[in-house]
Amino acid sequence: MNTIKISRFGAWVGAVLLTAPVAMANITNGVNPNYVKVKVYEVQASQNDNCSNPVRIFSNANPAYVDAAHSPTFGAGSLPQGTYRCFMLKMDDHIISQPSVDQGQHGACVGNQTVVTQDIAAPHGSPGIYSQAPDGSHIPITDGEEIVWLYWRTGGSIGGPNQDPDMSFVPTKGMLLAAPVTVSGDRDLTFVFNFDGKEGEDTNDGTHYYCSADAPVMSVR
Amino acid sequence: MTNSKTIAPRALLALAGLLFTMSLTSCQKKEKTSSAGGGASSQSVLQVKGAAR
Repeated sequence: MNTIKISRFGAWVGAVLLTAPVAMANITNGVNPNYVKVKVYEVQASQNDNCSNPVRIFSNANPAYVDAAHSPTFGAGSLPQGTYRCFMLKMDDHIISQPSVDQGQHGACVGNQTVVTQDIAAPHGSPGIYSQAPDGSHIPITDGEEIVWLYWRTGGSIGGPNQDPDMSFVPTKGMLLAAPVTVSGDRDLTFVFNFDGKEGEDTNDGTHYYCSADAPVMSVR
Repeated sequence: MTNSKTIAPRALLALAGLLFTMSLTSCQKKEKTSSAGGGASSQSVLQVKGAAR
């Protein structure tokens, strides 16, 4: 089968997708990262807005962190042709990035040196929240590292866990997929983790500063 | 005197019916062949990628 690069589908791609902030930091005058490392285990798709009857595109039990800035391929697989209204991404909730230049006045964020780990699924003071897998099982969301499911669906919301920590991680909520995705031939499906302008110093007490990252803008195209 | 042979209406009807049935069977055979064989694939291959912007 032919694999058609997404760049050839510029107009087509433009039709798809959307944003969702995913964490609670509050950084001003943030800088861009020079890498964004993510670990993706599995991707599923459903033709239904409620994400029912999903089809697995690929699964990798032991993936490595890869730099999203270098257009990595997480995996590949076949999918029945049709119109898809829900995408499910199983990933590590820790995203690792690095500011490309110094940021702030306290020396916490050193360009090309400081490593920032962003926990995109954290309770933020709401105990008992969880991520729900497509099979219905629950994964507790903690302040630590866990493997969660992220959802994009046509019935999702533009907002994200800033307002409701588990919003992006259960199929009944999910982030907004602005338009259904029609699969009528071989193609790329790209998940975007955009930390541009999001890296910078942060503090909890006004005295101790650390390098952090605001919620990435995440989308599917 | 002209010798004319006439075909009974009942025989004509039977012939028409036979032709119609043969034509229908032929169409069904063609449909089966195209859906099982040379038609377009109903599956597509997706490369799932990441991006930072």
